[in-house]
Amino acid sequence: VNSLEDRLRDAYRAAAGTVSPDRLRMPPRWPDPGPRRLVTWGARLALGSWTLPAPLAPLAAAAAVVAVVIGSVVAVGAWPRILGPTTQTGQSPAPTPRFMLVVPGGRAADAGPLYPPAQIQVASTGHVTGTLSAPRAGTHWVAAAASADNRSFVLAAEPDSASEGDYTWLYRLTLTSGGQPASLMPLDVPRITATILPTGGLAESADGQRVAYLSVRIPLTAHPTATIGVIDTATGQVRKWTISQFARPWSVSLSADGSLLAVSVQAGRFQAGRFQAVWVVPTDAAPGPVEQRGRPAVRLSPPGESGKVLNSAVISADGATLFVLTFHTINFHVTTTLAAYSVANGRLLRTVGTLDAEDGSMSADPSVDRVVIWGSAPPVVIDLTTGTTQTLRVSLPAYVSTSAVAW
Amino acid sequence: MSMTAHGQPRAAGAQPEPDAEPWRAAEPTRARSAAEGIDAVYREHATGLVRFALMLVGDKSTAEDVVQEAFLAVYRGWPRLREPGSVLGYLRTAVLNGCRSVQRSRGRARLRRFPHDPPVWSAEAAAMDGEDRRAMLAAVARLPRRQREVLALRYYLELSEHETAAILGVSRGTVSSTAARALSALARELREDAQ
Repeated sequence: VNSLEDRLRDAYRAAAGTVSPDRLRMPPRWPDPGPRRLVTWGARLALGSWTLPAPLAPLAAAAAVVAVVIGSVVAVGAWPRILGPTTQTGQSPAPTPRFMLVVPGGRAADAGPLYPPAQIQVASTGHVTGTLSAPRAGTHWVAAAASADNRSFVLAAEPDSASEGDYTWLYRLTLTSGGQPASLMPLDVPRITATILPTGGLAESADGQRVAYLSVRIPLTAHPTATIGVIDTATGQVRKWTISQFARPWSVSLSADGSLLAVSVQAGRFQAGRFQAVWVVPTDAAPGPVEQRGRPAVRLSPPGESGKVLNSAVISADGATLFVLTFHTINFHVTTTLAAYSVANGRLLRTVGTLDAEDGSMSADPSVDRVVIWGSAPPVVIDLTTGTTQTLRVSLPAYVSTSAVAW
Repeated sequence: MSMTAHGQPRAAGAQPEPDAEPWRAAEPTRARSAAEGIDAVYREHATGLVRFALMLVGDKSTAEDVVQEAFLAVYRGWPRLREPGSVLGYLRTAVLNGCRSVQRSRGRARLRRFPHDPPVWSAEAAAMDGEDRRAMLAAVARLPRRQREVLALRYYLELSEHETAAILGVSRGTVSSTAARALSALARELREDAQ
C-alpha cells in the first residue's frame, strides 16, 4: 500500500464531501439550440490557424504575395519584418525597429523570481533590448500602454502582496532609439487606490494627451467596484466613471484625440437578463455610472445564452469603429473572433477573422491599424485591414505568463 | 435506452420522431428532446463533475460555473452527438478545458483577487477536517497544471491510465510519467518518501 497515494485519495474524498448534491444550483434553463452552423462564411483562406471571411480572401492573398516578396528581401529566418510604424512604410530607407513592452504575470511554477522584470523587445524579432524592474521594492508591473511614437510607454505598478492593499502607481517610460530605458518618471497624478486590470486596463490616446485606466477595488465581502479614470496628462486632472458592481469590466480604449472612451464589460455568467456590451463614453461627460453617461455601442447576449463571451475592444483612431474580440465555444472548441462594429449604430461591419485559441487579450497599436492578441499562445499581430497575421516571439521565461503587451 | 433518429437517448414518454420530418416541424421536438436528454445527464453527473472541477479550481462556486458551461457546450452540440454513451467523456473534457481557462484567467488577469471563495483546502474556508488533508491538497495545488490534472483524473476519478490519456489527449506513457513526477514532487513537498 502506498500511503502517499492513499492519503491523496482520502484528501480528495474529503474535498469532494464538501459538495453536497442538494446544495448545487438548479440546472440551467437550456436555451433553444436552434439550427446552428459551424461554418457560415463559405470558403476561407487559411493563414496559419487564422481564417478569413471569404470577401477578404483575395485581398489577403494579394497581401500574402506582397509579404512573400518583401520577406524574400528582408526576412530573417521565418520572420517577415512587417512591424515598422505604418507611417514609415515605404518612406524611410532605414526604418527604425518597432519596440514592444512585455509585462510578465506572476510565475506559474516554483522557479525564478516571483515577478520578473518587464522586457523591451524588437517586435519583429523578439530580440530583447532592455529590461525594466519595478521602481519600488515589493511591487511589480501589471499593465502597460504605448504612445504613438513607440518610444514612450505608460506603465502601472502594484504591490506584490494583496494584503498590502490595492494601490497602483503610474509611470512614464521613454526609450532610447536602441530600445533601452532612457527615463522612468512617475505620472503626476494622485495614487490610484485600486488595482488596474492587466487585460487592457491601460490605454493612451495617440496624441498622448489622455491616459485611461480601468481599476477594480475589492472589498472582502462584495463584488468588485470598477472605476474608469481618464487622466489629462497636461494638468494631472482625473475624471472618473463607475461600472455596475455585478458587471465584469475587461478593457478600455481611447480614440486618437482622446474624445471617446470604449469600455468592454462582461456580464456575470448566468446572470439572467444581463447583457455584455462595449460602452462608448465621451470623455467630457460628467462623472457617474458608465451606464448613464455612455451608451452600449455593441450589445451581446449573456454568455450563458449565446455561448459568446465578450473580451477586449479597441476603438479606431477616428472613433467610428469598434474592433471587438469574443470567444465562442462550439463542440468543446473555443474560437476567438475579431469583428468590426459601427460605433454609430452598433451594426456588424465585417468579421476580420477567427483564431483557434482558448483565451486571450487584445491591445492595438496607437494608430489602430493592427492589434496584438496574447494569451495562452504566443502573441499574434493582426492587420485590421487585410486580416494578415504574424506570430511574435516573446522572450519571457517559460515559467511566467504574459500579463500585458504594449507596442 | 431507446434512441431517436438523431442518435440521441430518448427520454421516457417522448414520441418517436418520423425519419423524414420537415426541418421546421422537427426542430421543436429535437430541442425538447435535447433538453430532456441533457437534463437527465445533468441530474446524474452534475455533482460528480462539480466535485471533479473543485479539485482543479479550488472553490465550489467557480466549479459550478465551469460545469454549467460544460453542460451548455454539450447541449449545443447535442444534435451532433454521435455516441450518447460517451457524453460523460465529453463533459469531463469540457470541464477540464473550463478549469484550464479559469486558471489562465486567474493567473493573467489577477482574477484571484476577485472575491471568489477560498479553496476548500484552505484554513480560511474551514470546509475540510484534518490538517493533513488540507496540507495534501494545498501541495497538489502548487504542482504544475498537467500534474494536477493527472492526479485528479487518476486518484479522484480513479480512471485508468488509458482513460486519463484519452481525456488529456496524451500518450499513456506520458500519463504514467507525469503521475510519477507528481507523486514524487508531492512526497518532496510533504517531506516523506513516496515509496
